[in-house]
Amino acid sequence: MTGRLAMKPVSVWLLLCGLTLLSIVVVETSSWTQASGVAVVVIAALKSRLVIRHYMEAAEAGRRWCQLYELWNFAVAATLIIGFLYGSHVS
Amino acid sequence: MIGDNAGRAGGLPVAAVHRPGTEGLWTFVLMDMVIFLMIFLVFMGERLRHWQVYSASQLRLDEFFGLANTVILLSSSWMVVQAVHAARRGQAVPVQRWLGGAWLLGLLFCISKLVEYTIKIRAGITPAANSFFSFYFFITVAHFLHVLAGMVCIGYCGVSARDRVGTRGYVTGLENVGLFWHFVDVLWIFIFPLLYLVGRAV
Repeated sequence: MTGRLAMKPVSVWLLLCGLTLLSIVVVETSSWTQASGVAVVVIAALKSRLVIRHYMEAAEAGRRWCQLYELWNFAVAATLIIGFLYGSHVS
Repeated sequence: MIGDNAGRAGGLPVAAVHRPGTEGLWTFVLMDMVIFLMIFLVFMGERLRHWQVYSASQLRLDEFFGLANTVILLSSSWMVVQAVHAARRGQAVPVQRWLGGAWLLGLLFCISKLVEYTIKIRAGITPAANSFFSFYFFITVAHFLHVLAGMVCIGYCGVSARDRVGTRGYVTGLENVGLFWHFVDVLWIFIFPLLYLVGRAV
């Protein structure tokens, strides 16, 4: 891993586990369903981005691959957030 | 081709000319990701149509199984990263140890998932229960099959490490396996909130 965002794999792993626990805490302690739903998807997108950049090393594979994988990450997160917010609104 | 840069060709350290994996694997994984994006889209569409059913059904899942499986896969991914780094240094024994750890965690994920399926089925929750559980079983079984495929590849790389870790192509092969395993991890990172968490707040 190179560049200014380089992190040791174990640091990335600790951060990923911390974010995972945070998502459980958010769901278990929040009474505001919409906000917690959006928060856990945002946390998942952050985790996914960490894996793509630091474990898959997408940046080293080339800008094209990095952009495509990050676009996928954004598309999944947007799908879940928009679907959830729209459903919460109309239900 | 990216893969031509890997290995230890000409005695050069891999890191000096390093680009991870091969174009083919990056493409394959991206296509698989797009398929799962489509599945998630259909799931959210169905959730909009049956909002109450999905919300009620979601509460019958145990999010701590999801949490445990997430930590297991994240840990397994980290071990595969360590194995890839060891392979780039040409160290066979650490490669075997890290891959062995990753494989065992993959096995633990499978056992955890099978226990969860057993509990659900004994409680009368099957794929035929309703639309939510049809998706639950479909998505998680599809992911489960990816885990099994990844474990076969990790097992092969682990077994062949002692004889091949210094040969041309081994590092590229292991990077490809790692890429696939991280993809399996990324999928679960989204499956966890999709099925277990979103909309569950107290």
